[in-house]
Amino acid sequence: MSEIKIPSKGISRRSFLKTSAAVAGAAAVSGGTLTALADVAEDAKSSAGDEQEIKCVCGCNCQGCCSMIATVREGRMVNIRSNEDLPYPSYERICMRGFSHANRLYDFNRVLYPMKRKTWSIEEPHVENRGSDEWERLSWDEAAKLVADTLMYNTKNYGLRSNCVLVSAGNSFAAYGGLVAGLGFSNAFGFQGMDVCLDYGDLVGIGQVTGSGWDFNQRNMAGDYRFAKTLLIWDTNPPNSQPHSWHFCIEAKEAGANLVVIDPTYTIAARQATKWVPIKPGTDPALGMAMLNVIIENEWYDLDFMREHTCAPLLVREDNGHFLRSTDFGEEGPMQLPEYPFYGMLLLQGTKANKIPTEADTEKYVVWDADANTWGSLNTVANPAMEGTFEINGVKVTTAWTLFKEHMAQNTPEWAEEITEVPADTIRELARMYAQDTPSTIYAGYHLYDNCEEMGMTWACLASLTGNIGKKGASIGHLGKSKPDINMAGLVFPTGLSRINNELPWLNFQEVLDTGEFLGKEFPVRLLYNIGANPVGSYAAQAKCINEILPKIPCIVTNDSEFSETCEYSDIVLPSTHYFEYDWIQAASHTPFLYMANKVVDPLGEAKEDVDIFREIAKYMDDEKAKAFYAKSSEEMMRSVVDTPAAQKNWGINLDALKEKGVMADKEENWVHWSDLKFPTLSGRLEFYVENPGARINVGKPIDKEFYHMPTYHTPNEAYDDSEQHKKYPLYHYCERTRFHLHTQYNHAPILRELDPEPYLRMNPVDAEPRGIKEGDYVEAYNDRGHCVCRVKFDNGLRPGMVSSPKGWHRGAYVAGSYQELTNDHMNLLHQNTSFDDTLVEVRKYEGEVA
Amino acid sequence: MTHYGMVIDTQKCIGCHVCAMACKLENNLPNDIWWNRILTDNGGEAQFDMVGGTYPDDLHFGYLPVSCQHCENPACVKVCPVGATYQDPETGVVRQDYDKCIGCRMCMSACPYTGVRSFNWEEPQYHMDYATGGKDVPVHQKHVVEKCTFCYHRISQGIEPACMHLCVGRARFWGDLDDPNSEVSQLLATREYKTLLPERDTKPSVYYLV
Amino acid sequence: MSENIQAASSPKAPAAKFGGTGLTVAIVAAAVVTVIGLVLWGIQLSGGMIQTNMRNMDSWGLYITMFMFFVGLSAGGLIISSIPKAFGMKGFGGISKVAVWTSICCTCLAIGYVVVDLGGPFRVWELFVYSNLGSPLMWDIIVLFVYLILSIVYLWAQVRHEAGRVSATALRVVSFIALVCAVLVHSVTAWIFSLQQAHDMWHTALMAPWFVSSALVCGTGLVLVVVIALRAAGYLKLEQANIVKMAKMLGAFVCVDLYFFACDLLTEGFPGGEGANVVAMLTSGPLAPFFWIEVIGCIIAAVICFVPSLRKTPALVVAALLAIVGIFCKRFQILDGGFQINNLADYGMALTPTSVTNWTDGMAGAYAGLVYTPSMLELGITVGVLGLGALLLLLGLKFLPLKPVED
Repeated sequence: MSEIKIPSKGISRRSFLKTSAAVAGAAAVSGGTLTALADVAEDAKSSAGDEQEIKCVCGCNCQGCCSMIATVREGRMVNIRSNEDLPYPSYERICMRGFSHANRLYDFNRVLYPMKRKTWSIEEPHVENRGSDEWERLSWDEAAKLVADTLMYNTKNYGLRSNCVLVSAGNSFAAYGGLVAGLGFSNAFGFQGMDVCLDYGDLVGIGQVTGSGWDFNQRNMAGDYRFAKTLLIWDTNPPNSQPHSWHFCIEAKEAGANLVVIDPTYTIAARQATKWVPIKPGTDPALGMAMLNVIIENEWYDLDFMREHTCAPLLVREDNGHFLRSTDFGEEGPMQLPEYPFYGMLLLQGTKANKIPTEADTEKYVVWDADANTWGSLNTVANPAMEGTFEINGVKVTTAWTLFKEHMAQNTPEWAEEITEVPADTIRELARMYAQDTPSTIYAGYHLYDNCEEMGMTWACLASLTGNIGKKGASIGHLGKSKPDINMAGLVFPTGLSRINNELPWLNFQEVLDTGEFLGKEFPVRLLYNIGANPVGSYAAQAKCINEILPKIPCIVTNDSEFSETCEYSDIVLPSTHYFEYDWIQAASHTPFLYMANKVVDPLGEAKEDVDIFREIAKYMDDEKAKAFYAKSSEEMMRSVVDTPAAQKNWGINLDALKEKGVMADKEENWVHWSDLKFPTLSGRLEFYVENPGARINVGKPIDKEFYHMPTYHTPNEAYDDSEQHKKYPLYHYCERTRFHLHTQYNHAPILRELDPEPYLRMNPVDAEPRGIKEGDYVEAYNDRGHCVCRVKFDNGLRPGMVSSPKGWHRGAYVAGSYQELTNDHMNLLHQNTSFDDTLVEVRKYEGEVA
Repeated sequence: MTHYGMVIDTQKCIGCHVCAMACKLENNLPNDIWWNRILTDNGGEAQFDMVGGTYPDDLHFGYLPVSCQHCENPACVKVCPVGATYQDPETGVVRQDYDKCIGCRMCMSACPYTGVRSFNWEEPQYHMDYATGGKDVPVHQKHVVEKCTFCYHRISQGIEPACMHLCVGRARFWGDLDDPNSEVSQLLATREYKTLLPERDTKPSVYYLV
Repeated sequence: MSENIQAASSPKAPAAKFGGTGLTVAIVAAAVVTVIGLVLWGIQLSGGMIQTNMRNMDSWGLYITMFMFFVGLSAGGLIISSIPKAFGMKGFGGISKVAVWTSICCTCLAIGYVVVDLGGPFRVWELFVYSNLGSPLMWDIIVLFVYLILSIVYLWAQVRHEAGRVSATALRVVSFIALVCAVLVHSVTAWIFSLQQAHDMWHTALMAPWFVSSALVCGTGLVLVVVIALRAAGYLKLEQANIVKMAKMLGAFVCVDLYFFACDLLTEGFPGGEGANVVAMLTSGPLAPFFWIEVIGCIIAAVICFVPSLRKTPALVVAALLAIVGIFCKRFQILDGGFQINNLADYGMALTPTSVTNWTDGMAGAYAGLVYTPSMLELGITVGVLGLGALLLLLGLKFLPLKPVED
């Protein structure tokens, strides 16, 4: 058992500062890099001295899916560049993070060996020692057996679902690899899946209208932005977060499009746009609602589109708010809609999204025949009444369109100006552009405020009214991940669907831990297995996570390639490979490609790809069905995904071809989503009137369905001027996406730290001056949830009254605390999404010592 | 004669640093050395990546990638006492001979484009214990002045400089300024442009479209 | 002149008796300082110049300041000693050799400061193999070496002249050539800076004559201090009238130097724009202390030199020292001032530890005060080189026949 080469007390701020200055400093802290590299060098000496070029893929889930070519010399990666050999060259891409992979591969912070916290055991976990304990190196056999024994011990004594599995995309977002491996592990054995509560807020808003559930599956392919005449960049700064897609937007601008950026902050996107609309933070839904109002007032809507493709002519029952169906008059009475309309698991949203209702399904929807002046079936009435209130068989009904118009009448531009501080005339102009300079695309970011579901819903309503969806140059929302021609089900649900159930939302976790109950039943949590997930670093209210959530769980296991904050607070840490250290398949449809992500170099230390880690664990488990799955080779698993009849027929894709070509198209370059204008809602139409809104996941807490039928403005949770907290904490804090980080990845890449050496708080000098703060001072941002101490940087482009922290920094890089201690962990019952930016703070000059 | 030049569209540059990283990796630049720096065009009143001006109507923001300007009238070449920095007659590229440089730093002080030259103030340090980048990149030496070479080791083999392989914002162009049909010449013929510090009369070969 | 020849005919010069133990102690002390300097230089070379405070955006520092300063002192010293010879002025004969020797020591110091500033001192041979004759630095190197050799020849000629082996005419010719060379050496040093279009502060035609006037100021000041000191130590005798003459010259030179400064400031500042920034930086910016010490010090020096009632020996020492300090301040203004204004200051830059001396607080922090201040190692090496100069000077006083023969 050799010496453990991982810092037992995590990463100090000093080590961060040092890594940018000298690798010797970093090595002294962890003892990691150079020794590890020397090992690699030793291995490499035996191999040939010539150069190889290997096609690989960045799996860091910024949605870029960059295909790159790594140069390998003597077994080590020496260079990287974008792959210029793509089916559609317009998707050639790479970013500065991509260039840092050699740094990340040989990072001083890599996890090299399976490790266990010294004082931890199943019987006596000593959770109080987390974060300060020493680490013990384990052999893979020891580690796998220990994890398996713990899982089985918990299963036997507390039930299968006392083992919770949290999977995220940190170890690559893939069709075969990181994320899918983790989900497959959880589902193979039937452990309790955890929902990450990230990014789903707008999605569920959009998904209620389009029927896509809370799937990401929404926007057209990036290449299609080029054909928009109006492009609203809303709540996002693509040049930083998705730099590879920005050139499509600029192409649209060069072709004469309106390129509008709606953002409180003057970003580089705002700088390059034709129009920048500065807005009060968190109020964007009000802007969208006022745009709807203007479109209605000026009759800029597309009535033909609405008649054919939306719920406009459907009749809404006054008594229950549901659409009137002919079956309502039958023996069974009005249709009973489920309390919880969604599947409680992300990957199943796609299953639903593909379900377009049949003729027989839509036959039963009732409309008012304007010609015959009577009711009839949606399928047969040629000229349904768009407006009006009717009484049918004693049931009072009104068309959805009439209800919508009436509902939106209150949301005038003047009303919105009060809330958003965007001039009413600007709102009118935005509405005109969106509705008249068409086709229009809304390139949405994540509206990380409590009213995000209204944001998503408003976007979808804008598209529904103006027909800006399902067409060239017209779409809304976020990038999609639908890959219809391949089949990931075999890997995600290795033992079928019978073992899965609703996931447990992270935001609801604390309550479950506190009460020991979930959905009214006893629910002991004995183990949390993090796979490519870093809840300590990435999730809101960090102090609560560390001090209140984790100590209630007797065992925490983490697979990661880097020693994240979560690793520091874990009991067993297993080394995952970096995504250049094994063969995997990238298939996220943010690009119209499938990729063979080839192994570039041998894994560092004893790192294993996640599937192999689970194979090791499965060996010691007593579940024969799951063991049978893990007996499959990686090649067999990959074939089960790629070698489908549809992939072969439509694109000539199979694993062998993919291995040969590296990148293959599986969609058109400028693919248009929903081009047949058939939507997976119950009616097959865009339902801007949501008849059955519901909580994203059933946590046993019903929502006020009345409120959510149509877009209705509600304030953020705390980040608004009249909130209780605002008196104490007057500054709006948000987490900006920088190009130097991707969530908590790339935190340690020293090449990036040269330009971005330490975390900072961005502040407008207008706010700093009255607080006696000067540029470069150390400041403390704080609220009731926690604090952080770092330098301040002045930015005149930041809206006065706002401050921001770059997202992703490791807490060790702060003088004290972390930006993530500040963020809001409030759970909204409908969207159950983390509203990171719905956060208020106060800032003061830091007078303490700075190490 | 060939006269290599670079054209950068400041209206499209998003400051993504891909060109800077490509340079850093290809040339195996020592720690803390950046030959290709992405400056923030903010009036100088704010730090790197920060916006200058007054919110919201009078803001000043943009990016300007600056490396050696490979001037036609290079201030550095004239002052070097040993001819370690010189102009390549075939390509117009301003080159640097590490083996000759005596480390007097006269060229650094003569160059108006403050900071494009770097001196290896110590034995070059690297984050990794092996050399990255191109095979033919000259080895970095202590106490020697260096700068962007226009990736001479690549262009001499007919390959574009590393920073030109892919500009994510599609803002960078490279070619022969003496060839009227080259992309760079065409751009300069049709677009408005500026050069950096024209009042210094150095005649840079790097042009910025405005 | 004839007395000189007679006196020199008794060749055993009296120098050997001067100083005694005190001088020996001083020589040993200087030698120790020199050795420490050499060790520090070794540290700088082996550990790297990262140990200095010079960085990419302020790539020259104290060494080049000292180089400028000592070229000035040396040129000034020689000019002072050769003007009387060249133009046949009387009364200064006695100090001539000491002045030339001081000047030689200063030249050696100047060369020493360039050498310690070089990254590759082991490559200096390249200067002679790959000489780029277009480089002002090359001109300076050539002129500096010619000047050093000429100074030695001049000193030798004086000694030989005293021994009756060199005619007065020949000495006058040599002294005239030395004078031209001294003017030239300082002009060329000025051109190292003023021929660069990169720095507004340096790029002025006045730089060369102004360097010469500054050289005269500090050269005269130095000779005055040395002479008064040596007279006090009994090494030589000099009539107060000659001291007064020299003081009047100092006053005149100071006035010329200040006049040049005023001309330059007006020309730079008047049109506004970049030049106005230079003026503001000097008068009210980070360099203001250096500027005002120079201006006020020089004015006081001139007053002392011109007002007969103030022209007492101690006051004259003060005046001379003020003049020397003033010129040092000016050298530092020139060096630091050139880097203090960053041509790309309109842009925000990511700074690394190699970018600029004070990189941790961003561009604003780096340029808020002096962009460059020397590190302890630089100060140490600077003192070490000074030690070498002192050693040379003292060895000369001890072993060379520099003591004037009776007038």
